[in-house]
Amino acid sequence: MSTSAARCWWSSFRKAGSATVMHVDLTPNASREASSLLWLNEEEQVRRRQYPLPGSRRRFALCRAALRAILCRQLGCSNERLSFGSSDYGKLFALVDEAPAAISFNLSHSGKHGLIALVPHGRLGVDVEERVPRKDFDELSEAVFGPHEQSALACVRGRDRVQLFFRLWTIKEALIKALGLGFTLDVSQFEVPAALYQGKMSIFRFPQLPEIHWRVEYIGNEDFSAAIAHELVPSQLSDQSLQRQNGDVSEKGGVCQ
Amino acid sequence: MASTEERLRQLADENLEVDGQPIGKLLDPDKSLADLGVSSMDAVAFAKVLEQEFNVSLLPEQVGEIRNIGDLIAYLEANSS
Repeated sequence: MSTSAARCWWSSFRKAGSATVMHVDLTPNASREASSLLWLNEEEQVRRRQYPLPGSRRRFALCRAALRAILCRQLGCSNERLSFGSSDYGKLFALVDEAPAAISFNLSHSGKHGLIALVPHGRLGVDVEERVPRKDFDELSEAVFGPHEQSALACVRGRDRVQLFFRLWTIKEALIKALGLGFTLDVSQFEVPAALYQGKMSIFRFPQLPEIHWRVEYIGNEDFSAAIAHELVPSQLSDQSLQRQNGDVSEKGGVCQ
Repeated sequence: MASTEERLRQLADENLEVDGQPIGKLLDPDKSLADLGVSSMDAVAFAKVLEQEFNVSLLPEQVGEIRNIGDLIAYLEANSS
């Protein structure tokens, strides 16, 4: 399976620690959508058709095809040998010849943008959100943010508030996607420390799981908000320079700094 | 009096959109909101609406048991007051 450069709708976005992040262009494009279908297996074709709206069908096909192309290249396998399994909470993992592949990945999409993140090992979560203004910021904030996060939001207005809301949301969603439990975890029970959402990258620990360290980085740009969370393996934790440089921000953040 | 499913469809029409289209008519008992293309942010916001409209609690551990619209209807019917 090959895809010409002109038809390729995914591209390298950036590195985040040991993770590679790819951007997927989900803008309507009939030629790309037709090409994407060539990558999907029969089960995926059925799933695509079951989406009732064309936008959802397009996003699924373009993202899944890009994921297949990227994984085939990374794993050195043909598209036919690649398949996917999923956890009880719906998190995908790759199989090559029906055996688990030695790679972690996660994907997210919002509007015209998709992100696919890959690492050799360790749990991984990525989230992207277009910053669409909403009427229900307050209700959503009460549902998902803790008291310090809500206080931080209360300190800002207008565009800054929208930016902070989406920054907090994407960091939280990247973390819970990395953990693999989705919104079955009460996300208001842990808070993103101020050092993390005010900076670019830091190390995070869930209060309930202090033994596991997550490298968290905000990777948004002017087009979208996005964040990535990656479980650090022991060899990465022993990198003292990483810890000295970024600190450990497992404690709750302050307010209105 | 409207059935739970009818109320759910109406609330979905009033509160949920995918690509600018209301999705009340598209709700399928065998599918989840994600299967319709609803984002996690919209799903969380919709859960808050349902909590108010049906006077129920949709705690995260309960949401984990709700796999599709059919499960959601059953949950609302069993727990609303």
